[in-house]
Amino acid sequence: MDNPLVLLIGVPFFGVCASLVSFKSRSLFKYLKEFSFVLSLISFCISIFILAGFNKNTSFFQFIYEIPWFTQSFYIPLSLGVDGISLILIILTCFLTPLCLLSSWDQIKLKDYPFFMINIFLIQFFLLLAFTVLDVFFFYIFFESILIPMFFLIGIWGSRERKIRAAYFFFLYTLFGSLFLLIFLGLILFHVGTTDYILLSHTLFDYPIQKIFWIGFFLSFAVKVPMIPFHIWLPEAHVEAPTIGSMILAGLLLKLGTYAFLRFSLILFPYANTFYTPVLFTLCILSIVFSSFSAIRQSDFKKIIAYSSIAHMNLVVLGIFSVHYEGLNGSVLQMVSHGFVSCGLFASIGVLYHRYHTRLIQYYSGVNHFMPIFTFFFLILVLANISLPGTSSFVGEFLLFLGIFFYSPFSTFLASFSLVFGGIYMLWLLNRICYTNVKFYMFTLPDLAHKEFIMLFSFVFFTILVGIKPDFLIDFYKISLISNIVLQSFKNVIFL
Amino acid sequence: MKNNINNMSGIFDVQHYDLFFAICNLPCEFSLLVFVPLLICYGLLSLKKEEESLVNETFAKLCFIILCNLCVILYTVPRYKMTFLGDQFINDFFVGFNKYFLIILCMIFVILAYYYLESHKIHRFEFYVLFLISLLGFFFMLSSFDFLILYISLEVQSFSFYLLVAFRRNISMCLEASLKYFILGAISSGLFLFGILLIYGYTGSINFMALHYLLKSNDVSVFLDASHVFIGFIFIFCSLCFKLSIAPFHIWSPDVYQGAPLIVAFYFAVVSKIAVFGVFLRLIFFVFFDMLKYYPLANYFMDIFIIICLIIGVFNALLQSRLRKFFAYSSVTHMGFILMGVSSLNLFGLTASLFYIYFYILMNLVAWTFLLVFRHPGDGLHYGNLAMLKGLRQKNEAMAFALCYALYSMSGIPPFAGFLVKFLTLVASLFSGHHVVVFFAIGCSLISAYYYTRLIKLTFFEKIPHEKLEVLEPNRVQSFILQSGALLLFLVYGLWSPIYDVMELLALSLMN
Repeated sequence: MDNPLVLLIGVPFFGVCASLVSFKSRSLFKYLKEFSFVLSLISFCISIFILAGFNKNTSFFQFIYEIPWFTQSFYIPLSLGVDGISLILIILTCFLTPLCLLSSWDQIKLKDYPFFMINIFLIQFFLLLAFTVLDVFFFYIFFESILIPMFFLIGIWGSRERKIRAAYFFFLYTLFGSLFLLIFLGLILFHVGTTDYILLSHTLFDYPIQKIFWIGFFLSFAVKVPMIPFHIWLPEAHVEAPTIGSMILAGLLLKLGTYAFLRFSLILFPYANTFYTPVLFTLCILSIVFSSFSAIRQSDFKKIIAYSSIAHMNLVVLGIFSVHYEGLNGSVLQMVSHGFVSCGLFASIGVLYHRYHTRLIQYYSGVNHFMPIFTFFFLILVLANISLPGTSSFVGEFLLFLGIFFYSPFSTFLASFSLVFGGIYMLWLLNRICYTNVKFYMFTLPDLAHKEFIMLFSFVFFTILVGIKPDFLIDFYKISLISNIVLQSFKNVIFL
Repeated sequence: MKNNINNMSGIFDVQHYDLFFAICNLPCEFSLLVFVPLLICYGLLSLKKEEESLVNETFAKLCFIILCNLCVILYTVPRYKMTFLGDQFINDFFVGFNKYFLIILCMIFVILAYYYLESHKIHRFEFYVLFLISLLGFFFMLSSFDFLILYISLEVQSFSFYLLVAFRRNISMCLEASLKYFILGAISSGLFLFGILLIYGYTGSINFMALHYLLKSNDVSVFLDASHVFIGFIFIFCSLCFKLSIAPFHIWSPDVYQGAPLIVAFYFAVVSKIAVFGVFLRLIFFVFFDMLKYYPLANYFMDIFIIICLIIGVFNALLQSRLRKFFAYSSVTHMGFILMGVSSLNLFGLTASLFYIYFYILMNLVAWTFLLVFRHPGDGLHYGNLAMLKGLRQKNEAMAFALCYALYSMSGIPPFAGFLVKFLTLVASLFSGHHVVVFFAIGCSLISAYYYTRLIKLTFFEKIPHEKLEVLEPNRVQSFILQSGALLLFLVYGLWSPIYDVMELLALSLMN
């Protein structure tokens, strides 16, 4: 076992097996909570170990582990490897899992622990695999496999009767897009004979084929991002999911869509990228403007954050398809920063929800007066969502706008609506919840507990840390981004 | 070697009618021919009235021992391809593998049948005898190399099936299902005979080898005169589609699956498909292969069947409220996917279809074992409403998980085995240019995902109040079969390359 990547992926798998074993006797259930938390911390330590052993000066995939899985008719290897972008997202996954477990510490009934832990570990397992696997077919498998544990998470531990509808939407929307990807995966096997990413990134497809394949890939990833008109599942899923479900969904699953755009659509189909960029930009800008406007009129605070996630992720996709260094840089940084910020926002409104069991903003007022520490963290996270300078999302968005500006200044003007309206809905949310007078019917419940404090502090700390010195993260993926751009432009030039 | 397959003179040479040689090389069939009468005699003559409650146990054990014997006996058969009795029977890797698979499934069936008959207090030995007769029919079908033998073995198997469905003769639903199956089965046998008639009338031979060589040609003009053969083939194809419940010849299957005793429906759904597929694939890929590849219309006629299968299967399963009919219609959809691999008419397509068939049988095994094990108070005859699944997670998590594996595998969602096999058949279809069918398959996959997740929703998300919670503790043996079948569905990832090699060898031995 000399490959730390395999060890890292084995840890959540071990967690799943342990949870299955604990089904044997009821008395084992109560140890499961601490055990799972320790396991998630171990996975975080291993991911830091991988970070330490990572070579920043090369863009090749590192820690490669390959199993030649299917070699008879086609070549479909199961190969795992990290480059800068994957590494950052793996660190994000391993960082967010313990914090999610902290947020759900007292929310799950004892008899449900094993199944709950199985779901959480399966999500972490599939996410880690999806971010490290170097093969389109296996990426598809893990991309789709996450749907099942999330479906259970939303449907069983969700908060209201509408949860089943939300779970169906989540599942069937993503499945719809992915089934198109399945056909095109088969067609890639037909044309090239392999789905190995490294081999595919060096193949040149004909122009008409590129255009058709791009659409298939686009449909699948656009549902995950989410883009209009495939975004309907996100507000529903976020509202009905338990806090931990929302945190995982916003913090990690949305990144899968943008990561997939960066990894696959950008590199495999360079001509189709330039062909479809106007359409894509239109859809993204529509999504940004529409979701920002929608967020203003919501009365449910989870929906506000959900719509703001749509806006931020579409901005990331704009940055990716600007194919400039700053745009790509900003997209990866914004992915990570949005992971921290929106996860932290869902955690903090989860704190409120667990106390008051309502999500209506009209109910809350003047929380600052009796929960000042909470308000402090909530304020910083809200300002981070608006991309205030000093927070990581400022760096991300600034770089994104710089990249998009190189492609088209008018799009930048339209995309910057996200900034302006972000300010409107987030500040208004903060004001209404925290900063007016306390209403007569409000119970003054206790401020942050120990675990909640640690959780929110971690989010806020890393947001500000990356905001002040983003080089901590950018150094790792800088070279691989540059090599991706070079590869893409090289492929474009070869054809001409 | 005297009976080498490449020697065409076998049809006319009297020397090759060597019965002793055939008995040595088809030991399972002939040993069953000996065991079944012995069992009948034992059942009729030697069991006394006082020991009536022991009948079930005795005969179950005897059957199991006979099956173990068959396993051992089958091992002695030589591995290379040979024909016997004047090229009327064949033995090769495909046949041997399928016979082994059949015997193992029958062992599981006997165990589950014992528990079923025990719990319903049915003490008749004829059940096991009929089962062995149908197994005899399956063995002869698999190793048949001649239309006459094929027809006789089909009829032997069908008759025992008609009787098995009517086994619980006090229940009107079983009798109704049996009558429906009998009438429709008789019509399909008539179609089969008519097909053989046309083929014999035009080519003068009913032997598979002779037909294979007669129809072997790359020249299209040869086949334009062979339209009689093609129409004969269509009749035979339709008759076999009846047995496999491929739409539009599937109409018997929901009613018969719902009406028959549950263990017989299990037998239908799980065990009966292999032998019929063996015959089906041999006819398409060995006997009529070149004709299907080069005849103008032949390439796309299967697409019509596939599209009808998918649409009928999906939209009917959506509307079902009975579990058994639900699984019957989902079978129809799976048949559509298997046909997608078959319609590609190349080695890769055949490999993909074989892969799908074996994993489909495994999925069905888990699903129907779940139905057998699932007891709901007030549902003594196992009519199985969907609503009875509510609250299963509270009663017994292990059973809920097993059902979850089976259902997600059937709907073809990663990471379950059903997804991998479906992907292979889709790729096989894309490779051979049937793009329209692939789009239908994708659309129907999406709709089918909805109704499978609806069952999962009922199982996992619905809660029933604590007072109404009944205990559901299945037998240890039944649980073992259920869980191990479910976990085997994940084995495909680790063992993909070896399993794929085996499937490719099966396909090669079938096609050559």
